[in-house]
Amino acid sequence: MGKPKKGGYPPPQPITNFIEIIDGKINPAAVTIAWGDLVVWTNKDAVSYSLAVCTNGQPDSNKIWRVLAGNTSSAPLEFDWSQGKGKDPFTYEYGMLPPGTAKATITAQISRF
Amino acid sequence: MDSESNALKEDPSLIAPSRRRFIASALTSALGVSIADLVRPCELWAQACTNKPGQPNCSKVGDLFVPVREFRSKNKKLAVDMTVKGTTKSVATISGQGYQCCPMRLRYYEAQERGNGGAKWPENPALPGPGPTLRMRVGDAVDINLVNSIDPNFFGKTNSAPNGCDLRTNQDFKEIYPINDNMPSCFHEDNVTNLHYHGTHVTPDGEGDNVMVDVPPGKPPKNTRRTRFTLPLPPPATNPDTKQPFIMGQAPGTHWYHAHKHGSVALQLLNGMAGAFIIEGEFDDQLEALIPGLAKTEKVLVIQQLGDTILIHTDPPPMYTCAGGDPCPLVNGQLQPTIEMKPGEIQRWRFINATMQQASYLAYRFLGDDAHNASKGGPFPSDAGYAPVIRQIAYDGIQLAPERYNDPNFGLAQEFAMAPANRIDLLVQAPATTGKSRLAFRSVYGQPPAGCQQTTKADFLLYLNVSGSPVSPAMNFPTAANYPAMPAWLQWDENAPINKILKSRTLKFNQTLDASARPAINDLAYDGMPDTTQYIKLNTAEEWLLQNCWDSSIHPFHIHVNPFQVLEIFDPNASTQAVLQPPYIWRDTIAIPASKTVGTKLTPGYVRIRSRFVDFPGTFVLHCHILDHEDRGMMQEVQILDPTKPLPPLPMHS
Repeated sequence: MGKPKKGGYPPPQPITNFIEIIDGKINPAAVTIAWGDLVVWTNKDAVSYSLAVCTNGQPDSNKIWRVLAGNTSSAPLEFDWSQGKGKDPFTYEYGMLPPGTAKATITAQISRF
Repeated sequence: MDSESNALKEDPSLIAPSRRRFIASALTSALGVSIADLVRPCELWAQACTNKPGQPNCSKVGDLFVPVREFRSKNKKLAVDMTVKGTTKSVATISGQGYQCCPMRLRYYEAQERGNGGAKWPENPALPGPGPTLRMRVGDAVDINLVNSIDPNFFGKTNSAPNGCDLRTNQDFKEIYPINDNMPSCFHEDNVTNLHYHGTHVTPDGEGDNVMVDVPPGKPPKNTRRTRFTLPLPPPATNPDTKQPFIMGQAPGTHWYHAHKHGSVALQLLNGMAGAFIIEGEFDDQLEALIPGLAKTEKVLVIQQLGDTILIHTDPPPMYTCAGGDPCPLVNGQLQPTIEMKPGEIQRWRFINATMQQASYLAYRFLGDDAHNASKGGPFPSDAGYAPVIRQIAYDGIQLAPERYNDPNFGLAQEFAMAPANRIDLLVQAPATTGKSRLAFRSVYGQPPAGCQQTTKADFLLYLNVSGSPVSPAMNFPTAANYPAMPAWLQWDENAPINKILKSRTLKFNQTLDASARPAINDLAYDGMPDTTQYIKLNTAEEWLLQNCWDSSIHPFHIHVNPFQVLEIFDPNASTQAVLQPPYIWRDTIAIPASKTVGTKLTPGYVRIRSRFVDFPGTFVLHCHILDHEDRGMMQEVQILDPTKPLPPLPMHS
């Protein structure tokens, strides 16, 4: 985990945030986490999904974060700060493949508050 | 202290005990129901971290100390069902960013005394903290049924890496773990568990203190493991296994139990999977005779740092790991609670350091409120102000000899330190007048690596509030003359054949030479094979030199089954060295001081110990009790071989 440019250090204790996929929707659709936190997605649908970072507003099949079988949880994805991330906070837009209609955001910043 | 924390301390209504928690706890005890039955379900499930104090289920500064429920042996037997589960708990801390209360998915022990109407713990699963306190007496039978009922889907998928280690990537698709770590010494199988009875002198094999077994989640019988052993009576009682008299007895004292599945120990301890294991015996009887009523007011304080995630730091290499951030040490799951005493009263406090990282290697000292505020996180002031007097009576659950009870460096010292896994027993005497003090702490070895540092925002463990009328009749510490003598089996008679040193060994706590640069002993990460196994002849004594080759960290050495005496401690970073005198103090965990490098010359810190490997042949382990070090390889197997019996098969981690 890198060190943000300004203030706020030491970082808070990292925690794992849980996001659910139910009926093809991501819930919650917008979360704010601290740099260093992890995210786990739990797919409560029977079908499988891929979670991909958006490029030009659409989930990019070349940028898949996690592939989720039906009724499983993903491996944790860590959001760590590194040089070049720019000023905090930083918002990631991602969505599901297929069908690519459900989208959500994760905002990482130095504090959870 | 940030403004939020200041507000916490200056608002009397917030410092007052949590009435809701206290009443609910009392009600549940009286009615035999769960707190979950008494409060609205939504109160049990916080949805996000908050920096506002006063959330349901979240500890706040100054709450009255709440003891953990005790399960006591009955008719010389302790029978308990321990079920490992996962749930969302509300964990409070005061970090670099102020007060936080975060919902965390944690693994925990749900326990019940066996038999109809047996007591249960915890009363409210949403409250964090240790498992129940288990209390018994030497000679008692212990029968604990461990059931792993973890729902793996509740925690997220692990073991995704091709080699079986946990897999972690980041948002930029970079691999954070395992990189060069590999099985069996890497983080893996987060939901597999077992139980270690830390401080017990019992067989390590079969149904004893056996950590070589894995208890996975799933269905019976695979998810179930039964432990059955009898705590040895003092010699010359007969060992039922060998039909010979015991050489060592079970030291009555403050011991503990915790998860010990290699690869998931750090995470499960960070989750809180530990509890007190109190064994009573003659020493307790003698203390009670000297200070009548001591047992009634005794306090068991399990210190934990709780979290749901191991921080893995890869930039720059080598990789290092810790709990991350600065989780505040909690006492029985509570953040800076208040213990009440009467003026002049003496209580016995049993401390257990059930944490898992270097940042919790802390020195403690009582300071009056004024002295604490004036110290501003700096060195302990020479004048502690309004503070109780303490006398240390045991270390790692083994009583001090009278000489050490009266030693300015131990029994008489007003400051004490605990590395992860250490236990300290104190007699605490409140001042003769009313007032308030805090048990302050400081990092023993300064700041660990970035991201792992100990907070200076919350540098005390608990409040002591002394109020009411002075205790009557007056209470007094044991004197040099009447303090209990060491039993013969805890004396080291240099002339006894059993104490003749037959072999010396050197263990270097260093790093592997491969690309992983993992925590290692003698250059090797634990691999379950003979090259990471110590073979020792039953009923012999040995002297070991334990060297620490890390500048950045202590390594708390722990060995199962047999305690050891500490002969020498060398700290290259200290200006003076303590000279230890016989009778040497018995321990089962000792922090090996960090090394010191000047230019290219590394001077290791070291500890010299001696131990008797007696009574029980079998297989167990030694390891660093910074548990992320242990999981990644700073561990070895120990095989105690009985020369009268055939050799066992090669050791393998099942």
